[in-house]
Amino acid sequence: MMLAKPPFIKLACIIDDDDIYINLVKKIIDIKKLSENLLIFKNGQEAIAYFTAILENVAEKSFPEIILLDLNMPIMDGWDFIKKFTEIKSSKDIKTTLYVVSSSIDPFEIEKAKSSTIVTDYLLKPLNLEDFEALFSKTSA
Amino acid sequence: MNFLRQKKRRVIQNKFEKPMVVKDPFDNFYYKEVAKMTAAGGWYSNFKEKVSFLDPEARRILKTPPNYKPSPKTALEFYAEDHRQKALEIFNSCSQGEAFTTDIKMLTYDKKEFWARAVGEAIYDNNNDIIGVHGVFQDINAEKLKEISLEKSLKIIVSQNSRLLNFAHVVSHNLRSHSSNLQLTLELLNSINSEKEIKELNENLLKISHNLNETISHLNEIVTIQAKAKEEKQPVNFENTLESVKNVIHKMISETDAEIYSDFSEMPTIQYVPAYLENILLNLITNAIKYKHPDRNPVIDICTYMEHNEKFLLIKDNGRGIDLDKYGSKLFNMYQTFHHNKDARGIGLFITKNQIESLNGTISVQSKPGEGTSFTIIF
Repeated sequence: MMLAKPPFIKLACIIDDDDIYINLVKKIIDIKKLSENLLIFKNGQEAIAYFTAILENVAEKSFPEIILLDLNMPIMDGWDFIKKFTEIKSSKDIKTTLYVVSSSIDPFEIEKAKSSTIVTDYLLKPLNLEDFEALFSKTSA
Repeated sequence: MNFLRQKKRRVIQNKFEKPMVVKDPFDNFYYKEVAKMTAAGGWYSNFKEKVSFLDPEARRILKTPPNYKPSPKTALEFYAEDHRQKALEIFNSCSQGEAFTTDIKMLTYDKKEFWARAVGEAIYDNNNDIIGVHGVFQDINAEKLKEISLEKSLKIIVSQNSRLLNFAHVVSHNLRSHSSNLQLTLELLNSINSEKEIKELNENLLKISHNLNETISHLNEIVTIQAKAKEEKQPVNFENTLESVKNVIHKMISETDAEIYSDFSEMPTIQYVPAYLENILLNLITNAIKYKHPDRNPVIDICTYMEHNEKFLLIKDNGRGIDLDKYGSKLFNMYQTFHHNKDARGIGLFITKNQIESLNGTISVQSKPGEGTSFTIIF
């Protein structure tokens, strides 16, 4: 009997306001077995509220290993999330890989994202199935 | 600049070493021709001997009457009123020994403004004491006006360019997010077999094509703004426009018990593109109602007025307001929504701002969360 391949990571997180995109990533993660669990937030504020709450109550282990962050979102956009998350990260020992995943080809935005110390890379949509697989396997390694 | 200084030296030589002028008619010829060709006039003022002097070219440029006697007391009258302070400061420091080179707005004897380039410095006697000032000014009105109009065009071009670039990024971003979803959906369709999943993905395709259509129609809307701005402006009546806007949204108004008060007595009409004014009012009023305060009915005040020769439209509401420190810079951007409202499209204010700016106006916003928002438009 063949054993199913275990997922690369335990917990991933998407912060994006595009429902279609979220659904697609959910399916990809499912089919390719990229992560056991997935957190979804529709904007930066929801994500920050959640992270702040779990960091106060639960061990920091339950933090997502990978975060895919959109930039253009209502209420709190990706930039403000990065600012807030940098503050949170500076006081806690969190091991997470943060990728900005956006449709913007504005060189100013790309430079700005890459220059942030907590952003691992800026990825331009569209990402294909292989791209997602590569991202998650890199994080688990 | 050099020839101005050279000429200045000539003026001085001509006037202070009179014998030379007589001796050297060529010098006089060159001096006169240079003065005429460059439209540069010389002047001199000796405090000690209380003599002032304007050379023929200076008199021609300033259009002084034939027997006009220049004096330091009336010299300031040859400078445009808004440049008199500057002229005074320059002459004061010049008589302390500080040479100057500047562009300044002057006035002819018959009070016509013109731009001049001026150089000058102090005159010293043998003991090295300052006894007066002298200088040369050149009529550069034609080139200065060209320079000013060029600067203006440059400013407009720079702002248009940056708007175009921004628009290109918006287009690229919005189309790319749909194409990205399309690509992912197709890839997934190829790699799964479950009937249920396939049906879901097919529904996705429909949604994506719908969104894509919508995006393209938004982009169209924006492109047509620039085209329409070239259409002829005509007198538009604020009261009538407001009435027709109220008719369009009468359902929304009655459902929310919104009260709209208006006073257009100070400026009842304006030269404008009628469709724009209607859209501006429609958009700002529907926003005021959509983002009303949860505890009170919407009250909207609209008025027009004139201030410093500029035309204003003010639209003020008592809605929930918006935190401008947080969102102010993005308020007028495309696809920016700040509330959880489902029908927020994030395009209204972007289009409104574009329409106003395409007719060289501006829109600004003041707001206090919990109290209300007011938009000020300068036409």
